[in-house]
Amino acid sequence: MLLDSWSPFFDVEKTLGEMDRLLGAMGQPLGLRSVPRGTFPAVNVYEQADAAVLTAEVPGVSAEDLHLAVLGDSVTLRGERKSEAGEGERYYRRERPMGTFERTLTLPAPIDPDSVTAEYRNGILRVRMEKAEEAKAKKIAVKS
Amino acid sequence: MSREQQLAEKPKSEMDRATKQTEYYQPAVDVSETTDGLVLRYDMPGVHKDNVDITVEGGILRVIGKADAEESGRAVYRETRVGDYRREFSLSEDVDTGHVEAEMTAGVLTIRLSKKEHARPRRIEISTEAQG
Repeated sequence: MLLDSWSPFFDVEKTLGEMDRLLGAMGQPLGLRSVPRGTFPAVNVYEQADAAVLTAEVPGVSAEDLHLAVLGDSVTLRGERKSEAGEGERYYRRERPMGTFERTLTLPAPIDPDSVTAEYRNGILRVRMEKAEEAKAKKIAVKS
Repeated sequence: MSREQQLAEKPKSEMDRATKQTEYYQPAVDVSETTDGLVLRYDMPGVHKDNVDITVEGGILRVIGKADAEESGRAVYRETRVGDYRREFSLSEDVDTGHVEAEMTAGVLTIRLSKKEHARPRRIEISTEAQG
């Protein structure tokens, strides 16, 4: 009843895309927003001068179902994505991962656990963490 | 043979595919059927509802979503890339394109399509004879 017009074999294309990326065949970004299967959520970590910012793509997860824990230079994100399907829905295609997830990442520097702020917007969790005092880059004045 | 020459000799369709891929992401989509219609759910994190463009033209349902700008700083981990979402599905004749509902919640776009009257299952009442 419903066909994907420009990639009927989505999974095949996804696999090929992943191979392209691994082999660096095209040397260009992978078209599909994909990480290896089972890696949910996709996470980015950015290092700034005094802080680290983590963004996780967790669409459709309510904020109460997200749990964040930090220890030293590691951060763990746990949660659950629940299916929105109503009763009597019959699936033709399921590409969106569901269920519980947990990911632990090592940050570029130890962080101050009291400084962590997290906000959830448009399906993206953004966590800002200040670096611990000893890890902050110090400016040293040069005396003449 | 230089890289450029190699690329030039690739079949055009493959080039098109590669070009399309660099411009857009395909969001992950769940498609399900209910008695009255179809439900499509798109994962498009980072897209505000004002930046979603849904069109139905020539039996093709096209969704384009524009994601927000990236964070500043040096990327230490990067599992996503910057770019817009785009995905097309061709719709069956049984879909009533006059009734399309869409809703964007927490980065998930839900589109509800209705079936045309003749494609819906019909409930037939069974009358019972009055018990004597």
